[in-house]
Parts: sequence; C-alpha cells; structure tokens
Amino acid sequence: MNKQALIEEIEKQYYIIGKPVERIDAKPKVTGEAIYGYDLVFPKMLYGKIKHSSIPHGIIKRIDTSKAESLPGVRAVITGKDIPDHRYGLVLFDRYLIAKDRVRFIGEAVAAVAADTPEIAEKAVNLIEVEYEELPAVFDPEEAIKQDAPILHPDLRKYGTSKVSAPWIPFDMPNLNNYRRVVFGNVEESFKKSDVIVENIYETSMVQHAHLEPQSCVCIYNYDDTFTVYTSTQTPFRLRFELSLALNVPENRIRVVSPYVGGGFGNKLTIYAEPIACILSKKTRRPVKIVLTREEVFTFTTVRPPTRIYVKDGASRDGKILARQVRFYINGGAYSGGSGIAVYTYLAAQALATYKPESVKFEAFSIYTNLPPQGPLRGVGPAILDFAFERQMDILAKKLGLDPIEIRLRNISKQGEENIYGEIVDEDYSKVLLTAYDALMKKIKESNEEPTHPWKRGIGYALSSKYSLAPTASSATVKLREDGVIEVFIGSTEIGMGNYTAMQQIVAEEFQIPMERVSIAAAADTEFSPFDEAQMSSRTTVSLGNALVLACRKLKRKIAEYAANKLNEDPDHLEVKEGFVVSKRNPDKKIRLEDLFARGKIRTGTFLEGEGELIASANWFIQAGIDKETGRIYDKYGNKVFERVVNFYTPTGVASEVWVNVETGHIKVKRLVTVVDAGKVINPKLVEGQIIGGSAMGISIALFEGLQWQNGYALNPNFADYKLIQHADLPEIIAIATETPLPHGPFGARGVGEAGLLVSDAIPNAVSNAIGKEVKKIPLMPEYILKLLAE
Amino acid sequence: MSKKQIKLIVNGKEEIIEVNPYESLLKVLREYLGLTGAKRGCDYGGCGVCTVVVNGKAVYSCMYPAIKAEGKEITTVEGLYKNGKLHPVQKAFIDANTVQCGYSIPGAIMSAYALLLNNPNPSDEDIKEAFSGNLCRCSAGYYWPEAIKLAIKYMKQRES
Repeated sequence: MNKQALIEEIEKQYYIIGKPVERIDAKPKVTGEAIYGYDLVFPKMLYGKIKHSSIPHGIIKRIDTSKAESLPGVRAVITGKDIPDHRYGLVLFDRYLIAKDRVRFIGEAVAAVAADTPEIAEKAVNLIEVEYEELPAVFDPEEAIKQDAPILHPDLRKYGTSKVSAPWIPFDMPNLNNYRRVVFGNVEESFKKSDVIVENIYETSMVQHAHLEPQSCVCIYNYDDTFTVYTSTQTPFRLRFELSLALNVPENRIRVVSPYVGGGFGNKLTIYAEPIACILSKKTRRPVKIVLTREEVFTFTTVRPPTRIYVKDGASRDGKILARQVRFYINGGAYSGGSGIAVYTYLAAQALATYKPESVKFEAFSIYTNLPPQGPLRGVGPAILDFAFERQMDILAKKLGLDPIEIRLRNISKQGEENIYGEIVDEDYSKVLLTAYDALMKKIKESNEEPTHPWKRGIGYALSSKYSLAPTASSATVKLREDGVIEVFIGSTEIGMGNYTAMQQIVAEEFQIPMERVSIAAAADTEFSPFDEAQMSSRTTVSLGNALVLACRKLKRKIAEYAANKLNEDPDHLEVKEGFVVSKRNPDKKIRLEDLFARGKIRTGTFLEGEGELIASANWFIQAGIDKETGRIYDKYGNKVFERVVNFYTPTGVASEVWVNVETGHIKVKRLVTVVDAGKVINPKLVEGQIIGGSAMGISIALFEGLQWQNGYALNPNFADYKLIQHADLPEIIAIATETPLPHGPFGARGVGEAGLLVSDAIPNAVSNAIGKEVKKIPLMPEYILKLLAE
Repeated sequence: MSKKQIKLIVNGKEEIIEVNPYESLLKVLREYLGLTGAKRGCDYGGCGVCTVVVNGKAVYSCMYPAIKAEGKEITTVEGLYKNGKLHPVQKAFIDANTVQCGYSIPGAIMSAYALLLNNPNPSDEDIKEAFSGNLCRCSAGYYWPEAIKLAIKYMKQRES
C-alpha cells in the first residue's frame, strides 16, 4: 500500500477501531468468575510437589525416597531415574526435567511427589534424602569465562540444538552458550576521528517477573496414551513443543489448554512443573496438580538476568556519535531456559536501532553460571542496554555542552533511511521524544511546587525502539454462525493486555457489527485453536491482528459468493456490513446474515443449503533474519540476505522529574511522561493501561528491584524482602500514544505492551541530573546514591 | 490433629464445615466452599490477592485461621455481585480501567469495599492506607484511587 492510500485508510471514519470499548474480560474478573489455571480442580486429582536442589552445583550421589514412599497418602515419588533420557530447551537442549546426575542451581528439581493432599505432598518431599558431592560454583559471568572457571556443562558441544536458531559459540570460552555480533562500519577508524571518548561500565540487577498468579498446572494422562495439560502459560503451542522434547512424546499426543492467565511478563514462556506433573499422572493414572509457591516462583523459574555492559562511545565536537563499541555480558544462569540464551544475545542488540552512529561494534556473551536460568521480562534486554546507552547520551551531552534532547535528535535513525542493521526506518523517533519533553515542561510550568533542602530536582529523558521479534506467524479462523454472530478462533491466551478485546474489535470493525455480535471461542487450546506463536514481544496486535483482518476479508468474500444466488447479484457488487449482505448498486437488494441459513421444516435446526461452511482461515507471517558474521541484513560483501531483522519497532520517549533527598539518598519520582508510538490505537483504554503498567514496572526496576544471592542461595525470594512498587509509590503518569502508521500493521497499528519499560532508563538520568554524579547501576538504592554523593 | 466443626456466615449464607485447626480461611473459601474469587499469591500476607472482609474489616485470608472466623460474617468478591447486578465498587473498578490480568482485582475490590464500609468519604491518605496491602504487577494499582472516587459517586446515585 502506498503512503497516500495508507493515510486515507487511517483517516477514514472507523466503525469501532480507536474507541474505548470495555474489556470483554472485565466483568468476569471483577466478580471473581474468571477461572485461572490456579483455580482448576478435577475428580480424583492428586497434588504434586517438587523437591529442589539445596546446593548450587554438585553431583547427586544418592537419593533415598523410601521414607516418603511409605508415608500414608503418597501415591508416587519420582526422581531423575523415572524420566526420559532426553534433554530439552528451546534453542539449546541442555536440561533434564528432573536432574539425573548433576545439579547446577538451587531450585533445580531433583525429585517429585504426588499425594492425596498438598500437606502430605509437602511432608513427603521433606522426607526425601539427597546426598550430594559439591562442586565449585560460579556466579559472575566474567569469572565464569576465565580459563580455570568451573565448567557447568562439560558436554555442551554434544547437546542437541534447534535447527532454525541454534546458538552460536564461535570461541572456546568456558561456559559461553551463545554469542551475537553486530559490525557496522569500522569503529577503530571512527574512534581515531572522535573529539571526545566516553567509556563506562554499567550493571543491572536480577529482576523477577513477580506475576501475581504463581505457575499452576493440572496434567492428565489419558487412557489413549495422550496428555492433557491445563496450565498458566503465555504460549500453549511453544509449551507443547517443549513438553514433547522433555517427555519424549510426539506433539500430537499432547494437548495444552490455557484459561485466564494471572500475568506473565515473559516468565510463562517455558515449561516448569508441567512435565513433572505429566510423569506423576502417568504413574498414578490420576490428574496431578502442581502449583508453585511464591518462593519457587523466585528461585525455580526464569529471571531477567543480571548483566554488565561495557560501552565506549566516540563523538565529534558537534555531538555526532562516530563510534559505539559494546560488550554485553549476560549472567545466563544454569540452563538456556525459556529461550533466554537466544533472545538476550540476539534481540537485546535491537536497542542499537534507535541511533545511527557512523560505526558500531557490538558483542553479546551469554554465559552459564550457577543461578536460575534467564528469561525474557517485558522484552529481552533492550531496556537493559538502553540503560547504558541513554546514560552515555547524557554523559556525552554534558561533556560537549549540549542539551540532552539535542544530542539525541542529532543521532536518531531517520525515517525512510537505513538503520545500522540496514532495515528501512518506518519509525519517527523525534516525535515521541519531543512529545514527552513538551508534556513534562508544560506540567512543570503549571505547578509551582519547588523542592527545598534536602531535596534536589532532576530531569531525565530516554528514547528507544522496542523491537518485536520475527520471523513470526499467527493464524486465525472466523466463522459465520447461524445466528449471524461471527465466531472467532484464535490460539492466543489472555494474560492481561486485553488482546481478546482488541481482536474482537478488529473483527467488529471488519464486519461493522457491534462487539456483542462477535464471539471469541475456544481460545488457547492446541487441539482446536489455530496456531499462534505466543503472547510475547508486543506481537499480538500486529501478528494476530493481521491474520484476523485477512481471515475476515476471506470470509466476507465467501459470504458474498454464497449470497449472490439468493440476491441474484454479482458477488463483486456485494458487500458484507452491519449484519447484512447488500448490493453496492442497489441498496434495497439485501439479506440479513442469519437469513442466509435455511430453517428445518420442523424447526429442528438451521443450515446452509450447499457444501461447506461459511468459515475462513488465514495465516500472517513475516520473514526476518541476519547474517551471522555482520549481525545485519547485509553480509560482509554487501549482499542483502534479509529484508528485516525484526517485525517492527515501537518508538518510545520518556521524560521524568525526580526529587532526590541528598541526606538520605531517597528518590521520589515526581512526574513522568511516557510516549509510545502505537501506529494506530485500536483501543485507547487498553493502550493507556499498557503504557501505565510498563511505566510502573519501569519505576520499580529503576528504584527497588533486585533478587539478591549469596553463594548461590537466594536472600530475598519473597514479597517482604523483594520490594515491588505499590500504588502509594506512584507519581502521576502521563501516558501518550502517538500515531505514526506502521505500513504492515493492521489499520497501521503497532504493539505497545512492553515499550513503557523504558521508564527504567529515564529515571537514572534524572537522578544523575539531580545529584550531579553519574549513576552506573540499577536499582538506585539509597546507599548507592549516598556513596555517589560522598565521592 | 482432629477436625473441628465451625459455623461461618459467608456472603450472607450460613455454612457449617469441618476444618483442620491449621487451615486458613483462604483454603476453606477456595477448596471447601468453591469460592475461587479470593486468589492465592504468596501464603504470607505479602500480596493481598486473598483479601476478604471479615466483620467489616479487610483481612488477608491466607493468614487468617479458619477457626478464628467462627460465627463471623465473611464477604468475598462473589458476595458483592447480587441478582446479576454489579456492586458500585465492581462497576467502578471496570470503569476506572483497573482490570488487566485481573488476579489482584478481587483482593483490591475487597480492600476498597472495606474502606467505604467504614469511611464513606476517604481522604487521599486513607485511600493509600487502604491499598497498602495490595500488590498489582500489571499497573501497580495506578487506577485504584480513581475507582474509589467513582464508587462513591455510583453509591450516591444508587441512594438517590
């Protein structure tokens, strides 16, 4: 579609797109009627419980389960001996679902129990005796790559890998499990030309997703040698794939069903207790439910990994970045986990897309350590790297005597040109930044509140491009029901972002019918739902939205063809809208959708007179990739090997005002403006909710969050000691959605779910501005601020 | 340990059940009475998704022994929804855009309900205090104060 046609499409009066329609899941959620995985109960159900490793690294010498087995009410006890000799993973198959011979982090499963009650199961787990031979452990990524470091996976090179996205391990570096490189231009030469060089080391903490519904599953082994898995997941299809690897059972023997999900944020993208419950169910021939405790969520599931980022920037006197050199060390934990090793190395680098230095050399190292495995968290790392990049921008600006907004505008990737990867830029980065700046300045002007000693004011900005991953695909099916309702089949789960509502709006728009004439049916059941990759990477609006638009248009054509006979009109002249099929030439020639169905003589049903149903399916797919050596869409000879690296980017700009107490180190976020380019807003309430939610999480990560470990033992795996932001900590947040259409988005829309997290990168700039010292790690704990002030 | 018979008044209805002395009110509501509106998130009063109202006060039902509730009146989120009609607090939580994943919502609604039961015109500080025991990862409860204000408006409309 050309640009003019696109703008016309955007500006035409929409039927329901852009309207603040009430969420379709709001009522069941406020009445307590919404059923989550955690709520499920089945007849004859048993309760499973996992025994976790008590040491960070070691060999299992002996497991004695006899006491547990003889406890009344215990129906099965399993250990590594009872599971298939198959390792699983998403890109690197490095983990057994229960440790067989070796444990690599505290929290790893070593045994499991199924019992009549949760209390008996817990008691039984405590009766299992495990004897270990401890091995030296390593917790820091840069320690772990030293030549004499303990090796976590001596057989790494023999492990199976995904055929499509195998990890790249180009050097013989201990514990390295993935690597990515981006090479654009020649940094050595650009550094030589630079007037200033700014070089710093940044650190980020381990962050837990802290979704409020702990993982929960009920797994049922059926009489026909199949498994039915009810679970709290963001990705039923991917889960089925991983389960099939872990259980060594073909995917067609596993059915995954997912009811409402109580938050995920990237944590519910991989298997945890599901395969264990499957094996316990097979052994006992009864449904087995396993719910994780909060402590298990903190120590047994994935985390946003701690990282260390070395950045060296060279710039000219007028503020143009000439060279950017980055080494990104990811503390990857003991296993590749929820594809963390793929995504952090591969996708975090997309944070580089915002700006266009003359040259870039970026290297990401994903490294095994004896900590929980890494997983995505509201994105896979751009918000981590942006912390370093956005700090660098401010430090460079200060050195050059430039305004922080000005230096960013001088370096952004410009619309219509190539970014450093070679992709054509569809995004308008200056718009989001300037909108944020203007809104904050207006707010500050309106208020006459001034900080008094010991409080100091600081202003800070951040600009970024949240990518959405590709290649990816979504399928959708729509069907005209005999009552005229359009029934929608999708395989996406509702984890809170309002995707069911947005998808229903898209269908209502295509047919120009009220929301209640669209029904979302059979969602997220691998047996019946069309394929959808996952609820992740801000991808659903674009990917599934496009699939639905395509499916609706096919169905409308099918309906027109079916109605053509009845109306004695050429289908090309018929349109389907407002619940009718109507002739464009003669508006009197029309038929209600439900009247397309004939009624049985004795009123026993309604049916179509002919073959087939009025149903249509479509798949939306986008290709993407990189040349491994250059990390770009061009290889080193300049040949274009792909069109894109990612699906799209979501430009985001943040302006924040903080007050810092220079006597206590305490930080108050006073005002916050978060601007996200939504392309086209499908539902303003939903978009605002996502921006606010991402912003709140961003404040929390910047100020409070860090899962602390000592020698592999978690110090604060609970809500009393791991501080999460609460309502009373929140400032006023101004959430703004700009609309620069995405050419391949449905109605021009982009995904907005994760972008708000960029707030975590604006606050450190505001704090540095307030105290006149450069912060280089998050979270910004008071003791760290006081230490900086004392320097 | 032997089971003890207790009487609870749950959402206006008398329930007689046998419970173990160590069992929480949350477990009794969810597993004995099938009221899954109160959620389970941590088991130690850290997140507030289990909040219910006992004799007019918001409590963490995960830390409240069921036997302590003997003879008391308990209101859960299910009890607010009567005759197919949303309670003003429930309607306000929808209209104020509080709902995302929804897991914190029943607990937050019960905190709001208890606040307004005891204090029909709360100050901003009262509202902060009322939600001090409720976590929400989707939006940190950003819209909850707005929901309280809307609920007050809806309650007045209902009375007039």
